Amino acid sequence: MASKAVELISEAETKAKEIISDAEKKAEEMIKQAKKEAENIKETMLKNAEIEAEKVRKEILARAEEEAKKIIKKAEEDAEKLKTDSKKKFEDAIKLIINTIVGA
Amino acid sequence: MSGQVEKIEEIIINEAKAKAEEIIAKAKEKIQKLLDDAKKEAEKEVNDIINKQKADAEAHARRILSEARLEARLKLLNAKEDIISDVFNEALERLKEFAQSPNYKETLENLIKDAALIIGGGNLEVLLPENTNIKPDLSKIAKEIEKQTGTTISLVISKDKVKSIGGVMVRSKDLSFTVDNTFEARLERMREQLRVGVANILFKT
Repeated sequence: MASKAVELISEAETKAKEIISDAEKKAEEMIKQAKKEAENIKETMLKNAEIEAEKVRKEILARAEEEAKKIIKKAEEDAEKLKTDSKKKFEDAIKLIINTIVGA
Repeated sequence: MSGQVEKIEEIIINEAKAKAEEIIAKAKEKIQKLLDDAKKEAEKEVNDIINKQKADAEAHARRILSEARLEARLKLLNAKEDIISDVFNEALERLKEFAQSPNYKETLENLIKDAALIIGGGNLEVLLPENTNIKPDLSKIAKEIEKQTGTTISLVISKDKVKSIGGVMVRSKDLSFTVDNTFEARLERMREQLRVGVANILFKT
């Protein structure tokens, strides 16, 4: 009778060990999966960051290009205005040269 | 006896189940920390990537703007240069026409006198442009110089001609002194001074 009890308890202990061992394996697997998931999350975030950074870069450069075009356009307009305005004083400038050269 | 054994079995299994639950709970905690750490690390890297790209782009943008400002400045400077150049070209054309006009004689005589005074008298030759028909009154000029300086002077027209649209070149007969008073030479000598004057007239607001 006593030996039957020892046998039963021993079986229970074996089953207990299996329960714990299964839990350990499950935990290990869960952690392994989580590490993979973490890697995937990181990879996705970095990929999105690259896309976002490229978008930011393009926006900044597009603004600068736009501003640069305005600067050049204004300079061209100023140059045209300069030509038109200076035409009115052309004669005076020519006279200055001629008078200086002929010593008048 | 049988009931006691069953109870012991139940305790052993229950303890094992509790231990298993604890293992899973700890694993879940570890997983949460692992995910949190990975996320934090990734967020930092994300910020670094965006900040670096932004800083690079801003530096590039500054270069674009700086180049545009320089180009704009050059456009204005070139426009001014073109206008000044047009004025000088037109002035040369007018000087060419003036050299064929009746008023030119007096200017020519003044230029001869000016050159002779610089040389300081002596035996001098006057070189006129190839296509001039105007004859300067050299004896009148010589008298004026002698009166002005008290030194004797001889002025003759040289057989040599000077390539010029107007003006004159005067040299001592021994060729030791030459004064180039052609319009082109005078223009070159006075170009910088004239450029400033012309620019002031044209562009000063």
